[in-house]
Amino acid sequence: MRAQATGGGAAMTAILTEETRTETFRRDVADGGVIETSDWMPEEYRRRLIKFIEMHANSEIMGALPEGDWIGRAPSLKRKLALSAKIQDEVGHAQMLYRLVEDLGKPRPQIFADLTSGKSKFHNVFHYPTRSWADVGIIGWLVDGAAIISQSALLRSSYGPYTRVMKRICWEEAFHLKQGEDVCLTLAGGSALQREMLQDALTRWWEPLMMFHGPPTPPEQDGDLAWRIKTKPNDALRQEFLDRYVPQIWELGLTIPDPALKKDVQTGRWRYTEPDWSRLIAVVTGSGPASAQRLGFRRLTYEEGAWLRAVTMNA
Amino acid sequence: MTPAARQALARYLMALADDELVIGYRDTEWTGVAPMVEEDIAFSSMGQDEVGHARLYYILLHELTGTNLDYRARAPGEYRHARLVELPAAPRYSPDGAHTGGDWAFALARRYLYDQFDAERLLMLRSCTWAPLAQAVEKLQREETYHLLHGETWIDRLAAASGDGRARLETALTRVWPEALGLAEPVEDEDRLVAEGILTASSAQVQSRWLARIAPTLLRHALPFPAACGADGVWRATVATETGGRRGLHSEHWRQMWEEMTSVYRLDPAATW
Amino acid sequence: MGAFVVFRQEEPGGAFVHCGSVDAPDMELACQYARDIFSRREDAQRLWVAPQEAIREVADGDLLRPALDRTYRLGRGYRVTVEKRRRIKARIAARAEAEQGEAV
Repeated sequence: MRAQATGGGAAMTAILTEETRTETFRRDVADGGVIETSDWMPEEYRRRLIKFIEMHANSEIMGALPEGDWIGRAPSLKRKLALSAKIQDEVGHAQMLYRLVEDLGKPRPQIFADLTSGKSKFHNVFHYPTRSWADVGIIGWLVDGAAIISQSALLRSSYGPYTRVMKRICWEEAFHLKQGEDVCLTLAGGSALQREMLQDALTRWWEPLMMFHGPPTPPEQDGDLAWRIKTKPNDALRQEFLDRYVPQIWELGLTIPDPALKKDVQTGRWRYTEPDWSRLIAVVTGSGPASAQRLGFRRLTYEEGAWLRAVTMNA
Repeated sequence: MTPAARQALARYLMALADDELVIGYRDTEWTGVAPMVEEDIAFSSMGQDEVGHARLYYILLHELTGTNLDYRARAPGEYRHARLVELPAAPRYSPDGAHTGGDWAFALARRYLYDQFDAERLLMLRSCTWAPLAQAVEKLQREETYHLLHGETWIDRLAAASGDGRARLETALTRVWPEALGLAEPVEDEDRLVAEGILTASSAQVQSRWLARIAPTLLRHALPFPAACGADGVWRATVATETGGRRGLHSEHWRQMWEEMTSVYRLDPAATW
Repeated sequence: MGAFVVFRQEEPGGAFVHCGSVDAPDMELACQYARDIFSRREDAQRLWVAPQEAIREVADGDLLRPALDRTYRLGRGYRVTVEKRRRIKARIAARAEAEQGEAV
């Protein structure tokens, strides 16, 4: 929205051009300012917010699928209830986040059209198949663990409504972590078959976990950082993840499939085999091991539900 | 309570527990794939409630019989739920991409008829002379209130919808009635429970009350309702009933669900999961 | 005249918390009154004002706090993790000791 010149000298001085307005806005968010939905915001900020939150929301709802396969197979009633409740929470997160995106101007049918056509993205970890019950444990403990690290950093985002939703999400994620951790601990302390199942799952999930926080990007090139939509660079998040979880994983007698993984005592930083980042790009653009099937399933269920949404639209 | 009555009550409780277990399993299958995000969350809650109720009934069963009934450690023919609850409805993911889409209208129609039946069953069980069951029912009823509200709201909305919404509901109801009527199939020796006063009504009586309860809504909307009230004031079905569930005779759908439900557990039944 | 409910945000980015309501003939005056009543010391960041009839309270305990156990949703449903870790570590240590014994 460009300010209109209305003529008259006094009025002119009060009118800001879009460029200066944007500059003021940029300084404001850089200084810790918080934006609300009804505030004026530069188009680039709005576009980035929508893209960022939409990808977060898509990840929550696509994340329901790999774990959803195990709701019917959970090995006890308590596990079944905990897993259903956990996945229900993820859908709940998607709901809160989609509402934010809608309030920013993108209607839900458009959001789902872009998701099911593959135009918008979702997190790399949800492009992989789940092969055993141990995958449920690894996802709850380590994938959600990695997510909590990025999400905690979002509590200081420049967009107020997002930070308020993140408070609730982080609170709930802490339970998911417990749920996954308990599955892993039970397997790690269980029979030989269970321990092998857990090791196999960890081995398969390690690469996606290392890619989770994205390629190292110089902060000055990361627009989401500049607008303080997110607050920490990818690599810092990955270091935090390794710092918190690698010792715990080792403690369970598990082997992490990266011989180079080691904490540098001098720098305090973890060294690891650099993931193949071109593979990450391929995965999130729809060439992951289960991308096509998951998206196909989402598309099918979404299309099947069109009749019900039509009913509510006319209400 | 005579040993024979205790045995019959155990069978009755098992049927109750298995009904809740299986419908809970079927409805939580919608988690993450329901037609609308908000409804997804609501539907999952109801499925979880039912699984929670099954858990409570299994504990009561333990209390009644002194033996622990592991829901996972039975052969498929040893479950006593009505066939209604085992029918698949949710979308199914297939790793090779051959997914199926699911039928939410069917899931809703089933939920509605089941919840309304369960409400009459619970009402009757409040006067069960075996106190632990009568006491538990009070808690369950409080949770079921919201299932009833949810179902009624949707039935009203779909019935009033033009076009596809109403048509799908009609198809689903027509399809689901024979199995829904099977909810009232009595367990073996139920007569004894009624004769000894442990249950205050037979399943046939509960069925009549259930039909009377839903008649106003379904008739008002002119929705499929294959039942009629006799001169004796008793409501009876006018279509054939699919029974067998209470005797362990189930459909192929159940075998598939059982395979899935127990698949991880059976990898190592001795292990803690 | 009608009642309008007011929510206040105290800190930038903070949640909007219900603080009271005003009587006003229309939304415009309701917003002005809300300012005069709930932030006349410039102590609010923002206010949200909504017609009272648009707000429905959900307070039924059966809906909000259901009767049966839901601890599987909560962290305290998993208090045993510390003990599980301890057992796993003990087992790993015992295995390592046994292997060392064999080597000797």
